[in-house]
Amino acid sequence: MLRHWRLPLVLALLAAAGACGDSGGGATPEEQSIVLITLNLEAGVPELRQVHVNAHLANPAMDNDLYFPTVPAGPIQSGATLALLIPVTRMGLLDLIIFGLDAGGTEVARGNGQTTIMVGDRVDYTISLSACGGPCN
Amino acid sequence: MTVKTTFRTTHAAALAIVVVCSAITARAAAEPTDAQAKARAQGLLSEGTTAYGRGDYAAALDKFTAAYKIFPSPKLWFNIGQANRDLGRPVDAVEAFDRFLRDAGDAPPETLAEARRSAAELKTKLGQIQVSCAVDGTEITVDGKQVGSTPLGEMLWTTPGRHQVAAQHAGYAPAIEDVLVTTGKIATVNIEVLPVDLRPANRTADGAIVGPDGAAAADQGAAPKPPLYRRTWFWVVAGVVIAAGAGAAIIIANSGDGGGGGASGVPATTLGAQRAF
Repeated sequence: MLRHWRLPLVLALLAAAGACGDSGGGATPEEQSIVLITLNLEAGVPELRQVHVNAHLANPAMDNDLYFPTVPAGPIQSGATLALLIPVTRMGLLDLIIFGLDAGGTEVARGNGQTTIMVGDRVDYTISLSACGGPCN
Repeated sequence: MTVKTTFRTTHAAALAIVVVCSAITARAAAEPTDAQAKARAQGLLSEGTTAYGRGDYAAALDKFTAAYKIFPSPKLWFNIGQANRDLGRPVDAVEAFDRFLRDAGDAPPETLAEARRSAAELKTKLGQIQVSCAVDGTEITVDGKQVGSTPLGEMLWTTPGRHQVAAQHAGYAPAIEDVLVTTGKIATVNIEVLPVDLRPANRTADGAIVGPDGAAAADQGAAPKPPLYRRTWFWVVAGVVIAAGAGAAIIIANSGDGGGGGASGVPATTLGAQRAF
């Protein structure tokens, strides 16, 4: 028989176990769709430190802005890759607009594309970034 | 061969009866007050011999043993040895023959020779146990049969195989040893008994329990320790371990979002992977 002071502890442990189950978005590889994007930097694109991904889902309409890497880092090389992990509850057309940011955080390159989410599967997609010739509008 | 053996056995038995009867009679004559007991012993011997002659060795052994109890003539060991031998109890038979040879030196040479021959033949099928114990006066049993107290003057004859040697001494914890005996070999057993202090623990004025020597005896008479799951520290440790495990699982699961991936099914990327929507 559990004493009164042990009950909260046991509940806490159960809660921790539950949190463990939901951790990291809780999605196992089979429970999410993956869009793997390869960046192709066209000639004239200045040195990039970060990319800004604006993902738009058509139905239901949703926008998501993500930055890769999360903190600006070394120069991004052509052929760099990033991945969007999308719950299987999201499907349909995915519009992507990608901006390249220089060391000052200014969007100096841009590219876009469109793909269809393969539910529970992976889509490999390449987007070319071209220089905006200054800050992108 | 069988006829020869039967004749020899019958002859030896008859010889033994004569020897034992004469011994009993002689002793009865020397102690007339025990004449009735001696007469009973003679009667039992006669009955035992008759039973032996008809092949009822168990009944014969009973009669011989009863006769010995009434009148402990060492010459009766010969009869007891024969009965045991024919009952398939080689160890008891050897012991009886050895006692006969040791204590009945005035028996006729033919009987002594027969006892030696039988004992020697039986011993070829047996092994021996040599028991030693540092504490004299320790009672030794082999397979539950008491064989004497230490120091044991002689090695113990026994059948081949595994045997259990037990030692018991007042004031000492009993000890048991297993020993494997091989035919024709001597198996040595050094059995150790450890003293136990049976004096009751004392309780001081403040309630503390001390041993007989006055030293604190934490575990003498102390309340039994609670099981593991009733201890506070157990739950604390369990909580910490589970929480740490959950935390590690969260960290590992989240690490997939920062790039790398691979093991979790997320493809390896140079810029990382993030959840969208």
